[in-house]
Amino acid sequence: MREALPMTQFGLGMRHPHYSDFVAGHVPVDFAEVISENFMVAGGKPLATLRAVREHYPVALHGVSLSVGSATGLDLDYLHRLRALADEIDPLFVSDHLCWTRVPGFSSHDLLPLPCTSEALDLVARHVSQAQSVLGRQILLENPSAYLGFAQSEMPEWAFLAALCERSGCGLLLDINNVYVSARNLGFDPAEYIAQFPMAHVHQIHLAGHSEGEALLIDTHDRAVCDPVWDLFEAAMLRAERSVAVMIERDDAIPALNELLGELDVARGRAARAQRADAS
Amino acid sequence: MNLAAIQNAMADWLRTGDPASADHFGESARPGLEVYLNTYRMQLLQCLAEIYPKTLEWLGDERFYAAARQHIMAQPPASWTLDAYPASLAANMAGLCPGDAVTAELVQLEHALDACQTAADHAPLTRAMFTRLDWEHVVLSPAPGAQLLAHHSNAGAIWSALAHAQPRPAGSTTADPAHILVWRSGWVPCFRVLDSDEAVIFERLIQAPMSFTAACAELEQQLGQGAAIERAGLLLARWADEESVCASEVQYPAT
Ligand SMILES: [Fe+2]
Repeated sequence: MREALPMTQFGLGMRHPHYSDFVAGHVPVDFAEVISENFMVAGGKPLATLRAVREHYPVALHGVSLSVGSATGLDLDYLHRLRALADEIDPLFVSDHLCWTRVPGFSSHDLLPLPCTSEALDLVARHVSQAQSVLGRQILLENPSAYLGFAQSEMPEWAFLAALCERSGCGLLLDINNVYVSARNLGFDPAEYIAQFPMAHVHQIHLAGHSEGEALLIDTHDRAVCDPVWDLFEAAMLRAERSVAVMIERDDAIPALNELLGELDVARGRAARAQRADAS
Repeated sequence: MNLAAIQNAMADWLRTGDPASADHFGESARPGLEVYLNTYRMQLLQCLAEIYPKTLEWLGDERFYAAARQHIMAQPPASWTLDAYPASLAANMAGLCPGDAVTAELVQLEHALDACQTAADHAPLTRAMFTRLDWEHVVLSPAPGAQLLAHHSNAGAIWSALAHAQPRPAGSTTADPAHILVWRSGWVPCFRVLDSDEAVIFERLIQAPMSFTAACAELEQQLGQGAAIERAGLLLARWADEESVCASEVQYPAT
């Protein structure tokens, strides 16, 4: 039996229909996560809302535009704007994805996959170090959902992420649904992935729902977390090596707040069960 | 393929949907590439539809989405922020709907109304400030996100009719442009047609802050001295009530 872990935190991704609930401070969560880019603006209601929410809750800044895997380098203007927001908000975490989103002159606004090669590892490690130095803080990287794999890959994604943390000092955001979606789409065992994941570096966990496409699972975040994802979450929590912040991520077909809080209660129950199992 | 080659091929695939770019990834990657292509295009279409609901309603689904698809193929996004993308459609609409000045100006108006929502915050001029300020040293600047549009069409009236679910007027154009000011009052985007003497002042204000005395001189040139003083008082009251102008005192003599 290991020593008891510091308390797990439970939060929600804050989306537009629930802004006023968070501004009022009535939502029973330990933290809120927002999409950084929505608040990297000069002024207006979004920023005022975030400032008001920050008075009640720690806020995690979750980005989609770092493009840490871009072969042609990072966008420094983007990083400086993100730093300005982070300096003001004093976030719980600053995170983005292990992916690339753009090439010079073109931005896909999507989280595109990287091959797990030593070339990519060298580049991403260099970019993470550069980003952390501009931001003046550690960043977390999230495992993305993938719809295609690369024959060039030289290692599993969990090994890539473990090496990346060792080399750059970044932390990880483990998205359990993304593991499940990628595993089904690319044909690997999600339980094995969770069993191997470098949990010592995991600061945050995402839980979300997905939908069934024609040939592939699609990471739509438009429905409740499914049972296999809950089981994987419990398996991950059993291996947790530090305090983690767990949250439900819903981006589409956003339900009443109570429904999301209900899902968060399921997460609390599953996390508690994992801790009891670990203690026995 | 090295990383740069993979990324260039995938970016080409998304920009063009050209099967030749997909071939680099092998047959087994095809379903995944289709998912990425669909996500990319749907996200841009949704973004444009969200920012331009009145233009969508005015054109109807078929014409709006046809123009949007054509635009996405012609001008893919380049900025790190998706918020920058709608501006390119507003700039390109005259080319997408040739000869349709009404639609081109409606989308321009919707863009200005959207853009002002995240403009930098500045406290507006209020009536309470009238007696506090030393007007000899007051500098005026436009409200957050202010833009001045020269419209030859009745796009503004169409926008208002659609916003209030009233019968929409037929599109029409005139030779002389109307000057439309778009700004944000509190959190609410606003627009109205300016009087011609106001338009001259706002044309200058949009370029750079302007002293109150310079604004008065502008009015004097147009209206004569006596009428200008009365008009200045009336305009200040209007601007304070609608929060379209900011005012601050400077210690050096204002120009
Ligand atoms: Fe996620």
